[in-house]
Amino acid sequence: MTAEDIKHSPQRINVSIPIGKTIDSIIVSFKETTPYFKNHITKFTHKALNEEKLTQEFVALLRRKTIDLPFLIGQEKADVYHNSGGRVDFYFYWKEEMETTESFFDVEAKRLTDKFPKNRKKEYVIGENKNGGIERFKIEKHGKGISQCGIVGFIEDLTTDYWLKTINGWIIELSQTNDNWFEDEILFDPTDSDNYCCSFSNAKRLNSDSVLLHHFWIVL
Amino acid sequence: MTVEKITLKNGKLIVPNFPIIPFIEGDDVFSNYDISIIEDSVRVMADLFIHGENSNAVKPINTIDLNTIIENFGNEFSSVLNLMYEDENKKFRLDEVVSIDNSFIATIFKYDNTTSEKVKYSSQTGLDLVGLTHHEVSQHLNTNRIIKLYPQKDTIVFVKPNQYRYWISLIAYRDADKCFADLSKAGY
Repeated sequence: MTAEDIKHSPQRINVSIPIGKTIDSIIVSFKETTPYFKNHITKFTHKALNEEKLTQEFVALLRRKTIDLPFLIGQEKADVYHNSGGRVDFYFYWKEEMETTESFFDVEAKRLTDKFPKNRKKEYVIGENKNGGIERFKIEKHGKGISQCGIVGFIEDLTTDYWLKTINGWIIELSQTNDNWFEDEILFDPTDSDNYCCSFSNAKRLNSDSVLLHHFWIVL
Repeated sequence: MTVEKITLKNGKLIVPNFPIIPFIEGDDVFSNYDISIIEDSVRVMADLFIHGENSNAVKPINTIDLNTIIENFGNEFSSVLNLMYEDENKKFRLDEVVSIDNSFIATIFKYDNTTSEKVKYSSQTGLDLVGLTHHEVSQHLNTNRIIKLYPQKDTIVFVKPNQYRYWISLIAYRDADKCFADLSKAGY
């Protein structure tokens, strides 16, 4: 009997592809999906979807958009590789046959609304039960072992500019009262369009290197 | 709905009652990648499963078909990686094909800004690759190793046996998935 075995050289791979290009291509697919998503939730769904339903529909359209790309998108993953305890909203893993299904890009989804009660107001950053968006990555509930992750924000009220200033204000406030938060964790390099806003932040982790967060906000 | 039974008799598949298969009208539900995978599954892989070592899939590629088969492999492989990594300046492309003792084929891919579609062909003799690619796991099991190399900047090389089954679109997508995993794990 003859079987097949794939062997590859252990040398360091050296290509002139820019570092981080894989994640950049994923963010491009977010941008391309956004107009369809906005149209979709207006046309085909009931108003006032919760975070879970918004994420479900965004991921469904994202999967359709990226069907030919060499990765797959999973949802609500329990981390069987690091036992981190969290369940990330969606994640990307390699299509490669017979190999790991470990995530290489975890994404958390959060609503950005001024209608949250007081105890959920800052949930994009920090939550009452260690369930804040950025907080989950800092404590490695999500993104364990990964150097880049994402947060998709669904802007339901107010403007991208308002949320950028408000969220950075919360981070600065936390850095003055909490030893685990730092001023340089604020969001930076925002780029705006009518439909979305992209920015970055470095979330510092207690037990490993910082994780680069890609913030992708959809203006609903 | 009935449960159908497929049996193997003297090496041939017997389907007593042809199952009711859902029929999809129109082909617009399939991408070009899907269509290539379906065609390869029907044309090459089914033949391999049925006839095993006697299948055409394990025969050397006819010289007359070689350029077409390998360039199709090269285009399909490059197209998957280019979905992720092509930019205004650079993209993956098949640069060179080397036939080695008529038993193996090496394909050399480049990531560069060359616009030429012309693939270079050459032959090598006297390279003993059998020891490198053929591995006897046990008395009853041998493995054919497919060699994937990143030997220098912006270069990917595959060395595989000269058999049809290794150079079809279906396998090009699988090889591209593996390279994508390597590249993204390396931080690109």
